[in-house]
Amino acid sequence: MRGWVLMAPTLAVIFALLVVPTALLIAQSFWTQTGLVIDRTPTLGNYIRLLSDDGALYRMLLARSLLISAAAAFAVLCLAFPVAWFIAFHVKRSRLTWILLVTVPFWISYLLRIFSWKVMLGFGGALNSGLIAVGLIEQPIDALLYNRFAVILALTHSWSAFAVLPIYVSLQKIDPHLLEAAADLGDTALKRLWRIVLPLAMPGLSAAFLLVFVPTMGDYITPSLVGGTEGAMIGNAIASLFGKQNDMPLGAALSIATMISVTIVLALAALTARLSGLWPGRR
Amino acid sequence: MKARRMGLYACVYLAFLYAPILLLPVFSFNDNRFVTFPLSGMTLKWYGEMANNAQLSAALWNSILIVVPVATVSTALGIMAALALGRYPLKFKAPILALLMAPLVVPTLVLGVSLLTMIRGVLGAELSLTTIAAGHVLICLRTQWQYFSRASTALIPILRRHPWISGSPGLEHFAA
Repeated sequence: MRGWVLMAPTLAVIFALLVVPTALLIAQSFWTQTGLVIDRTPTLGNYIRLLSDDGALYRMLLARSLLISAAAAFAVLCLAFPVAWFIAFHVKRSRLTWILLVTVPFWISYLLRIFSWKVMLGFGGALNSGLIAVGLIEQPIDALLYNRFAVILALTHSWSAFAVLPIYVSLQKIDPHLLEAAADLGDTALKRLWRIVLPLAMPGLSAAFLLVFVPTMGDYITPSLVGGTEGAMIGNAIASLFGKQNDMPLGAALSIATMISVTIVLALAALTARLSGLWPGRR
Repeated sequence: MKARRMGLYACVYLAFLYAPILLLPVFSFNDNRFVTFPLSGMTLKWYGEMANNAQLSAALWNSILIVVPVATVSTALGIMAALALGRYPLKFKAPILALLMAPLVVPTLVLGVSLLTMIRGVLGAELSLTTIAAGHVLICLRTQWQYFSRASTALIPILRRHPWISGSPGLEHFAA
């Protein structure tokens, strides 16, 4: 009973702010809007539009966003894993300090973290000026900013510390004796990583992937600040449909389509991990 | 040797995390409208302009008005949820967990447009500071309860060894 009393407020908030609005969003994706008037007769029109030639741009943006987000999430895992490993196995006394050090950048506004990449990559930015000062280039390179690479880089930077903590938690649970035993039996370092560490760290790794992949799929601030036209993502299209273009039902349908795509990609990723034997429980 | 190489990497990683962010404040003292190198001279005029900009002060005040209640409410909700899940034998634990995890697997933008649909399209209400705060409570909640249930499992052993906590019996119980 006391448990329910403690649980009820959170459940009520989630119900009112998540369950009901999502249901309404789904309902709205079956409506149509002409001008400012919304017609609530259910129709599949919006989805048909997204699948027809009319929706080619949206489909392209969706595919690109999946690639950009997956690339950023993968880069985040690669960067964060060794750090989490270092904190879990090599840091003895100052673990809290290290965890704080990788978390503190998150206390700085997301907008500032993204904007700082304009300073880094811009025409007169740090990277160009640095390269000129060193003498590697003579003219600033203007292709650093406003492209997909800049979006991936900015996203990787902004989300990377998010991954350290979950990976660290799962690495910490690994018994070092397992690694010693494997080494004694002749496993190379790479084999130990693949056969012991990665499967046991999988819960943390997949949580980290999820924590980066899902939110970046909806990001429209980063692409609009550093992406240019080449780096525009599905979030920009959705934001525009709910704003300037003012076609909320189509925007709702596009949001649902995005969510479905995210779910499919995550299911495929889980399946691949399981088949390759990396997922714990089946080896 | 291996530990040192990893330590070196960890330091490079920290540099990657901090360098772009630390670069930004440098330009707040730079005497140029544009954020480009080379730096053109020290100035404090931007801070003066900031203090005199009524729009900025209003926006800052709005932020404070939103941040304080949102942080308080979502932290309280997060602690209660984590306690309920961790200490009490609840029925329907699996569906509750699924519901709590749901905001994590929905992109924030989709959460936002769903809220917009409800507030504007169905309730016919205007957007306000209150609606911003409501959205933020939801977004904070998705990480809050985890901080207290999952991530705390990583910090608790460290905290428990900390002299402040191991030295005070009351806190020790809290960290258990």
